[in-house]
Amino acid sequence: MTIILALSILGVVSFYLQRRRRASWLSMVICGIILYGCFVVLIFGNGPIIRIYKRLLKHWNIGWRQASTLAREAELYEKDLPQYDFLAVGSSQTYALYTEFARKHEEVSVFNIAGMNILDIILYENAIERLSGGHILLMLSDFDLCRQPAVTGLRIAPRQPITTLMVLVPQLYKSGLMSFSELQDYVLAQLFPGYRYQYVSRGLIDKILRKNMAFPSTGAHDIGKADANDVMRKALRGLHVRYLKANLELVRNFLTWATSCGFKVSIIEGGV
Amino acid sequence: MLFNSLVFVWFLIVMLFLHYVLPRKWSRFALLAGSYVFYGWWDWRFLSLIIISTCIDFFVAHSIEAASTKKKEQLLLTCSVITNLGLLGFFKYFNFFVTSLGTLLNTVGIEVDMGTLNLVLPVGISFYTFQTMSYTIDVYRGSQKAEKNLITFAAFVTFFPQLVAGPIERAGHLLPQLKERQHVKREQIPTALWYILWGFFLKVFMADNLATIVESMYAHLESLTIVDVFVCHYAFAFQIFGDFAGYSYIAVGVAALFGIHLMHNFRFPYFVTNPSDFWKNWHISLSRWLRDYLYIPLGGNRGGGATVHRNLLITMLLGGLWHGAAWNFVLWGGYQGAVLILFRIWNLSRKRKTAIHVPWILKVILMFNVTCAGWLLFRSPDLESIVTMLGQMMNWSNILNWKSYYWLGMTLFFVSVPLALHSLQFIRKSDHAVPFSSALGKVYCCTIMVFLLITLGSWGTKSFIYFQF
Repeated sequence: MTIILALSILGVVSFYLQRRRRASWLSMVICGIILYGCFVVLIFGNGPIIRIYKRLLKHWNIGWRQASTLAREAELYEKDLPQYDFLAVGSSQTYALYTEFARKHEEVSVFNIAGMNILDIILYENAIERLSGGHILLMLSDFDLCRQPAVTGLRIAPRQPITTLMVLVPQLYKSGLMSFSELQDYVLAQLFPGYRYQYVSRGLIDKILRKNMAFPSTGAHDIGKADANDVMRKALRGLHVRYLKANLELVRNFLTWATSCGFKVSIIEGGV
Repeated sequence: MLFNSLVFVWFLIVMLFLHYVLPRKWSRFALLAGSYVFYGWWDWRFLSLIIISTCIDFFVAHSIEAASTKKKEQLLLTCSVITNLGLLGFFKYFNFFVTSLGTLLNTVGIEVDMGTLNLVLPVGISFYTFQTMSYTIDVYRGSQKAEKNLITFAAFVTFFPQLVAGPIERAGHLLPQLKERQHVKREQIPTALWYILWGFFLKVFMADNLATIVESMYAHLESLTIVDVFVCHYAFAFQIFGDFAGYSYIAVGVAALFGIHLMHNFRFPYFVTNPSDFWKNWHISLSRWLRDYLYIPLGGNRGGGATVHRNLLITMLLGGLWHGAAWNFVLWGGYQGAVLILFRIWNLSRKRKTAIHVPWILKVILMFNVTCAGWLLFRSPDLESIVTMLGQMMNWSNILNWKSYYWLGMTLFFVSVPLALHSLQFIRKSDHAVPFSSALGKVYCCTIMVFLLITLGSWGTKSFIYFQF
């Protein structure tokens, strides 16, 4: 339906412009804005196209976080998405602990994206709402609460309601979790879907031009023990108490939102 | 402050508001204050250099006009030139000359430790120095009246759209426009907006994406094949054009929104058929500056062949050195000088013989490759890289590999749309409007450009190449 509507508008505007040999520049600007909107809807704003991107682009084309974000975006367009009585939400530990359990119990599912941190539970509220049937198992570890949220996740995060943006942006800026330019980037990405989906456009070009053949990446399993330890040491050094307050504020936001949606939330680890 | 940053958008909105709302006298002051903010955003300490340069040239020009004897005028002009070139020379060339001298002395067996200073090169110093110098020289020559108002003159030196990377304006062209508040006419708005869009498209879509490819190739010099070397320099040719012409188009467009007309710095330089035409169409404001204040005073085309060739070589060598304090720029200048001399010799000999008809497109391709060979000298960070690059041209092993295919594909992708539009502009002999005549063509062209800019533009990550000069 969305595609048909966008194509119809595109046709009408094109017909109007075709008929008018000379148009005022103001009317051309207005037509340009309408056409741009249609392009965005056709290329990034409908379920079938997102599903195509999801099928075409794998984590070796666009990266782990981007691939899982794309998968979650595709879910948002699903009409009959199953809802689970218990939805375990949290970082990779949640994934490790609950995936096997969820396979055996159909009323349980896991919501996780690559490199998930506290900020992501806010950014992916829509997706959580679609999946949750009533009870959210929120897994918070001291590791999650004391680390700085990853900036990469902010720009590619799914579209947020304006109300969330109005609360989240000043809160993040005040907390010092994000720099001004990072937040600016986030707002731009929210305003211009094409900018948010740059990872898709670039991923498609890289796939067509076989970037992974030109620059084969080393998979996580190829990392040696010394390197893995180094990664772990870096992550531990990055933990700081100053992030704790800001992250707890984000958790409070999430709890308020969950309560307003009528969800029960059980915090199952990390009682700091 | 970078044109391709969000803060510049806010800055521009405020400046336009002040320009059109404030009374005439105050609007000029606002333009000056805004230009200082624009420059000071990078490093406010270096504002002092611009202010010194402005004050010296303002008072020297007045003194020249009031001077009773030619000798006094010459003395004043010398003072201005020495101060301007002294500042430029100190900040830009001091370390270069000291290091080069040290190397030379060590080569001849004299062991000296020439210390260098930890100097930061002020952004745009080469541009505003040449602009103020041209003003004083013009006043000395009598072709320009000394400006009476310091605020107007300071606004001329620091007019923010062209302050850090040109075009290098002449006082005769820009000063009269700054004296009176200009108003943009309704019919000028689409042209101004087109220049800005086209400039951003060249810079953010083409140049900055190509920059990633070129940087990646220069980071792996040893593994490049002959195909990569060619791809790298074709990519760089379009990168530097997109970067610099993009900046100039944005500058012209932004100035046009203030009702001010700036000179065009580029006129289809890659569609020319000979080196002489290349320099008439590439960085036009610098070429004209060098012609009027260096080449012609040296003797220009007067005298015998050897004298003209000497003048050409000196002009191009200094033009090369203007670009940067490094030997590769001197080499590049020398290369351009040699190409101009060879072309002149060939052109003179051709007039005596029957001309052979060479198709236009072949001439364009040949000239483009001659230019690209020059870009190798220009882009390489040092002399060793030039030697390595030339050595890699002998590397014929494994020339059909995935890396080469990827780099070539990326280059073609990011060059194709801008080049197609630029070719259309060339066919229409105009770059001041969307290269389509129908409303449908115009709207689709601009919308697709905006869409590509947003979805594939490399935003806010790369500065302009010419900022370092």
